[in-house]
Amino acid sequence: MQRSIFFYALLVCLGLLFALNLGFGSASIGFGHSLKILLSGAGSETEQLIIFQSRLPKAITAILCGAALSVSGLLMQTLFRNPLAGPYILGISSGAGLGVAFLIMGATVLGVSVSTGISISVAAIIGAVGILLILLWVSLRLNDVMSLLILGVMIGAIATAIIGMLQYFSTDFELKAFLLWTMGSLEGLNYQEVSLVAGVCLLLILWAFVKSKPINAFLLGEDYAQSIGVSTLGLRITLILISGGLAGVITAFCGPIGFVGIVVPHLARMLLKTTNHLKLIPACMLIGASILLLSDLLSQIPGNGLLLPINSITSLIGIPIIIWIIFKKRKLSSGF
Amino acid sequence: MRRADRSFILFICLIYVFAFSACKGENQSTERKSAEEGLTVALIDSTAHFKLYKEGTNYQLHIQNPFPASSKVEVIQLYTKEKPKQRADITHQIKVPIKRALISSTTHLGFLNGLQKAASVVGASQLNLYYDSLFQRNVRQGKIVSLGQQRFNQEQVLSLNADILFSFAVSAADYKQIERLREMGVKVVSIAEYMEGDPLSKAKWLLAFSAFFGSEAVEKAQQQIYSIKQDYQNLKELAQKAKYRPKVLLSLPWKGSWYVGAGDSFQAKFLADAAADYIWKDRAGKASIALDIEAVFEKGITADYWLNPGNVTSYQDLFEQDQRFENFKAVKQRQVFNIYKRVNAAGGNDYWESAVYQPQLVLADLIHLLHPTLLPEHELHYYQALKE
Repeated sequence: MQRSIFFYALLVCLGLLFALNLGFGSASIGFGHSLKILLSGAGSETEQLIIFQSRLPKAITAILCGAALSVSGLLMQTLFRNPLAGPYILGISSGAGLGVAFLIMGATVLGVSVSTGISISVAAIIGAVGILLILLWVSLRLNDVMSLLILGVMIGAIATAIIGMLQYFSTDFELKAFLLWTMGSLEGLNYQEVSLVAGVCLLLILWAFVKSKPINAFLLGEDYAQSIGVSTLGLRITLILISGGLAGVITAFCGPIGFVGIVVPHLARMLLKTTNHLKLIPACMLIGASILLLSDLLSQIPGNGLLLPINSITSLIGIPIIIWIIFKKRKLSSGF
Repeated sequence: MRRADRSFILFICLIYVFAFSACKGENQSTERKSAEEGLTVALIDSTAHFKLYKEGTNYQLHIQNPFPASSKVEVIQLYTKEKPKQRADITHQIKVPIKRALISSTTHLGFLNGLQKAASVVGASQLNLYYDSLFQRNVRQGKIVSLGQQRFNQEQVLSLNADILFSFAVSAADYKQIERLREMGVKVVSIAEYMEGDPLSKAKWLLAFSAFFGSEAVEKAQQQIYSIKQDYQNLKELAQKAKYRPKVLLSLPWKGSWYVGAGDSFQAKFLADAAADYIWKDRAGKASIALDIEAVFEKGITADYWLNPGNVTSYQDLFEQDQRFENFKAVKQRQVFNIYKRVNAAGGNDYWESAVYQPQLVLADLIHLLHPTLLPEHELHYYQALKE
């Protein structure tokens, strides 16, 4: 009973933040007027453009981004039974970063132009999928999650090292372009891209949701899971695929976005006092989406047209939350 | 090899083949031949990155390769009276003269100031970088608003409802933002002047900007460019009379690496025209190269002049960076000069703003410094000596 109230509260919160996001921006369109434009299609051409082509896709991107990264982080924490795990623990973002680094800085360093026409998202996807496939191959051969974790971190480190090398030899313009990518952005997606991201994310999250029961069993120990007929190898691969896919698609379109994926699962576990993924997955989606909407709202400094990088905001919000959880709970690993 | 492994590797290969073939589809060149449109002769003073064509009373501006390693062409049709028929290859049709412009680089303001059209600017990104005092006053009075810091604030760009956004892209990633703005109906032109290899080609972008203000402005820009070219050429010839070509060292090391322009870089061109012996002139390439500090010590210690040492303004600053600089000949003889003569309180440097269309002033500065007997009367415009 208490839990269902909690879910309703989260839904209301999400709706409120969504409305605030659509109602406030750097353009001087009042909150009420914005909602009127949204609901009745009133307003000048420019105002409609701002609401429908800028604010709405951005708010939807924020929701997708928050939901996807939070679920991805939850699954990684479950897979490794490690409270520090997150969507990027296995080097997915480094892989995506490597793809983007080759796109932006490869031309100068390698003397061949790879950038013609390839979009940044395609480059990031190629990089992220590359890392994901290596990890899958490794997980087929190694029957140990900890070895997989260490390998994932090391593969990520190799990607980072190669990025460093590319950066060292690139021009200041290219460096800046790459640095901007690493700061993340919710802007710049058109509806086509938003629907693509939405489709992929919702499918993957649905897959995770369907697998909730075996995931719950997995959390109690691999031996236990096997004893009730769960194929642990199959489940491990499923978890890597879902989590990596979610992190990969978001990173490809928005750049790496920090801390949401680590913090939100803890928040969800603490607020719901459960480890049941049937409830944790929807809770993570709602909390993650709300946090990203809030971050996006805070990233705009009203009046002077400045936008702060979203990645810094999510970290600035996320870190105090995690510190608060640590002090409140004393021990984070109790949920595993 | 196990069967599962083999099929897994095959799967990986398939995914990559698919990904790359998807890229290839996107990759198809959008280059269009101007000859097909009946525009055979570009106006004189067009450059490698832009061509300006006259079409009756209208103009067509073609921006070629708007960012490195791209083969795109942006076609901007600038009309005065009736809107010509839209064709698929035309990026934007814009009625001129434009009244409200948005800019995203100090050089854009430089060009507009050069054409005396800076009053059209209603928005700009990174407001703190600009030097021009009138511009700063307009910012304080709210006549020019911020478009954001590193990235454009889309909403702000949309709400200003300007005739044109002068932008630039340095990579495909940047260009995506331009394309997104275009999808929203914003008219954006990529100013690629930063890729031009020599000072005069950069200055010629005056012509590209002038086309947005009608034929009178174009004619005026052509005269302006003519006199810039003349002045530059005269100065260059004067410099070549010098008997001694002083050795010149550039820039400042950062964490043990010294980033210097290669032999075909923009800076190297300036130095060659000023009859200087740039110590890295034989290094092929246009980009900057990262050299080990030792390599520079070896060659640079005997250089007669040291120019553009980053933002260092005094010898004390210089020694704080590295005490070993005391041994450099240029330092011993106090022949170190930076480009910080015209800087405002916020840090805006006019060198990055107005020098782009006044290369003759930069060249005159260089000749005055490097060959004191050739231009003794010249007063330094951008350069200044380091303080003690």
